[in-house]
Amino acid sequence: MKTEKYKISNSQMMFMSISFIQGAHLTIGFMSDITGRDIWAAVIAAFLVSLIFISIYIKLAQKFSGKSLIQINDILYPGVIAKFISLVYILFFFMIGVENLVFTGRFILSYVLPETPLWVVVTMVNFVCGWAVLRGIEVIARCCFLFSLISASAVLVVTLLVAKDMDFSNLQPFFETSLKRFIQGAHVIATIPFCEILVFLMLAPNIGDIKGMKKSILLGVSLSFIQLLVIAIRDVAVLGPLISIIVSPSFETTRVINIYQIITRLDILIAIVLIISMFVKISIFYYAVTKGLAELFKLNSYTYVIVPVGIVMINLSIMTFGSSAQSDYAAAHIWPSFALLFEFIIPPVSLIIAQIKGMNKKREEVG
Amino acid sequence: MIFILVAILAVTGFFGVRELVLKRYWRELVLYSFLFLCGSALSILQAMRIDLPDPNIALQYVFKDILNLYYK
Repeated sequence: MKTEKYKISNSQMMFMSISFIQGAHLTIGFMSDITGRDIWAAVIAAFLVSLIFISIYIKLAQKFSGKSLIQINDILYPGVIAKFISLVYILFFFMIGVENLVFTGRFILSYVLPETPLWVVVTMVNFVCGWAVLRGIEVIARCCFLFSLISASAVLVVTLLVAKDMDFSNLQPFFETSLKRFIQGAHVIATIPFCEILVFLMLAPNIGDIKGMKKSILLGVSLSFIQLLVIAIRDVAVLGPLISIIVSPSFETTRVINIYQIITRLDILIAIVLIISMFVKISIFYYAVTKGLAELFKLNSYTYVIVPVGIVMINLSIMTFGSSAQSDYAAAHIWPSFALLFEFIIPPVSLIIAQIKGMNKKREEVG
Repeated sequence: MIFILVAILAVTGFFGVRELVLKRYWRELVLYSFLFLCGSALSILQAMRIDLPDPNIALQYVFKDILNLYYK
């Protein structure tokens, strides 16, 4: 397959990481049902655990400089097993893309366009994402700088405006959540926003400076973590015990803003942040799926499968989950177990195999 | 409504297949055709308001009922 000429710079990689994880700041809203007021502690725990696995992903990318996940699997695993693992990963990324598309569609339907059929919203979103994928990773990488700044600014503005409504005593009592629920919360947050960075392994051939990748991704993830933590603490401080029962805490927090009856109903800011953040996330997964299919089946270019993959994504997003409650339940209770294999088991095993193969090769050269 | 959908799919499919046939990209044509037909079939069934099974039910069944590997 022809490799794209464009190389992503370190700064673009950092902003892509930030934008990518910003797309999850509202999805952690459904975790507040499980962790309650300890959501901020779950975010910290998830971040610390994720750092280990993100480092593993980066080490794999650096060890196989310039190779995507599909190519890495071809090197590490024998014949059919490599193809099977690659296909399963493509399906995994496809499922995440569909889930994010459903989430975005339902969000727009619930809060922005309630009378519009779901298929219209999903088709529009997917069309824009497909167009970005067609133009190449260059377009997505360049957009991420602006999008991450817009998202961060919106979060900062909202946080400053609700500062007078924050009551930090709402964070108490600390750790009233049971250990099991806390682990579940941390596991979900580690799985959904942070360790989905694994998809960046599909972008490895487009990265200009592989050695600088570690610093840029870790910095991007750390900055996003700070933003997520600020959001979690802000929402708990404003909403208090209500956070456990509200569907979208960030949205409700923004609705509290009321400055002299003039500056009110700023929830549109959160809607804008979500839509542009989800655009980045869906585009990256869409790109990973088409690129993965192109590499797996040795196509000349990934662009030929963009349209059919998009049509399948739209249809599956309409079929998936009858309601937001079902998708929230699956995301909080089922998805962490499913993603465990892809995010927490296969990458470390791949790295161990790579290390052993590397050591064996050195022994053969010395011998 | 279904006729409009079929027309749009037919036009999209025609231009996609035409490009691949002209360039003689047979591997791409096979994959494109397979995915496009799957997508088109799902679209037409959706337009006919036929209830299609949720793919996540299979996932939930495997992890919840068979493996018992989920957070209760």
